Amino acid sequence: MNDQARTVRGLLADPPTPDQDVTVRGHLVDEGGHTVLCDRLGETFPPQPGGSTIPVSGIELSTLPGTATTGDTTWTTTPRVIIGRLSGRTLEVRAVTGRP
Amino acid sequence: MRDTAHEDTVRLAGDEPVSNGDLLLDEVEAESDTGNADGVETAGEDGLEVVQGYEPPTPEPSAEAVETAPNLDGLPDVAEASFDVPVVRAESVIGEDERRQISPASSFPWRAHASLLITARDGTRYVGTGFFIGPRVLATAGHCVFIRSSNPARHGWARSIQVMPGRDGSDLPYGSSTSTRFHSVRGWTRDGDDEFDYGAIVLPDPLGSQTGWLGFGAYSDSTLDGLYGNLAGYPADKPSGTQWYMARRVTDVGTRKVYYDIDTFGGQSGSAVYRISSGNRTAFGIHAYGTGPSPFNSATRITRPAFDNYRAWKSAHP
Repeated sequence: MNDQARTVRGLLADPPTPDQDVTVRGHLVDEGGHTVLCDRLGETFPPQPGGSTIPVSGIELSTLPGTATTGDTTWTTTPRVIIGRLSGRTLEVRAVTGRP
Repeated sequence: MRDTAHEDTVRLAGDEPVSNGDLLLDEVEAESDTGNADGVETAGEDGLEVVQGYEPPTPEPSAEAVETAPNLDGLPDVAEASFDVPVVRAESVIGEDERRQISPASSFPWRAHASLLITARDGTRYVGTGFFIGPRVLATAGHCVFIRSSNPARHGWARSIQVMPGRDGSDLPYGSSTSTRFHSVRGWTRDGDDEFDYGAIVLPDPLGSQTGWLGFGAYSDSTLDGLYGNLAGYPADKPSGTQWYMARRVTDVGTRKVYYDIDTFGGQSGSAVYRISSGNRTAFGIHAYGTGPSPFNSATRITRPAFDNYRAWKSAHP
């Protein structure tokens, strides 16, 4: 776990400049091709993105280890640490760390 | 009225009630009852349910018509879902899984909990949990009635929710009822604020008169701190449609959330987190989230505004 990672809520409250890398911890959820990073999972099944959320780009969840899929929903079963940069209201993913 | 003391007397904008219909709410009397008194399980004296095989988490020991379950077409059971790593430890099971199955689930309070089959706007199906608070009204999480999805086609009020009280696998001892009428608050439907993640399901028939219902209350921080929370619901990591129970003490109390290390999983959103006092079962939270920034699972706390909304919703649909 990366203790320096921010929450999505923290990221949205104090966004970095576009040329700065940012490290954020949360769950990735893809719903029919729409992918977001969120602070927690709402516990329906399949789960729903919960808490603060931000759209992400540059990642294909099905290629990540430690994900689950049902229907057109794919999610990370444990939180991940994302390194990326903000582009408008989207987080462009540069790297994904954290143990699945 | 029971212990409903709470300092929060200001109705915040996020608690402004909304529904998917055009219902106008009337002010009616408060109520907190268990309804049908037949087949009621006696609660333990220590704030826990008495469940065979369930061991209380602390040193102090002490302290349930057949209809075919629906075919969940299009909703793969969790066992059929594609996990690319073994589900040795579900995401919200904290440490050893201590949940115990409730079977049968046809006596009170178990029958007051219902398995939910939620159909979203775009036809996507979810499973969740709800609990009766009156003859025609169930409390549940806001995200069970209003899906806040990143997919615009899915985002919005559920198309319908099938309610199956006391479900035990394929057995539906009280049948099922399908609702298309829901309530929540603007803090959830408009703002997506998880501190306002609560809602209600209105049934076309008074199924709750057969099952009974749980009370609900807004309690003070001091009352909730360390209180035993009881939670029963329908997790998708267990055999399909089975009810599971666990209890733990509340670990933290937020302004609008309650935290605990009760093991949960997807499908348990909307479960009551309830106390037992003098034999009465009273919900003080609605389970909604697994671990996040907090290492604990959490419920939306029933604050005074939430209590007022639930009371109004219940009274509006007698």
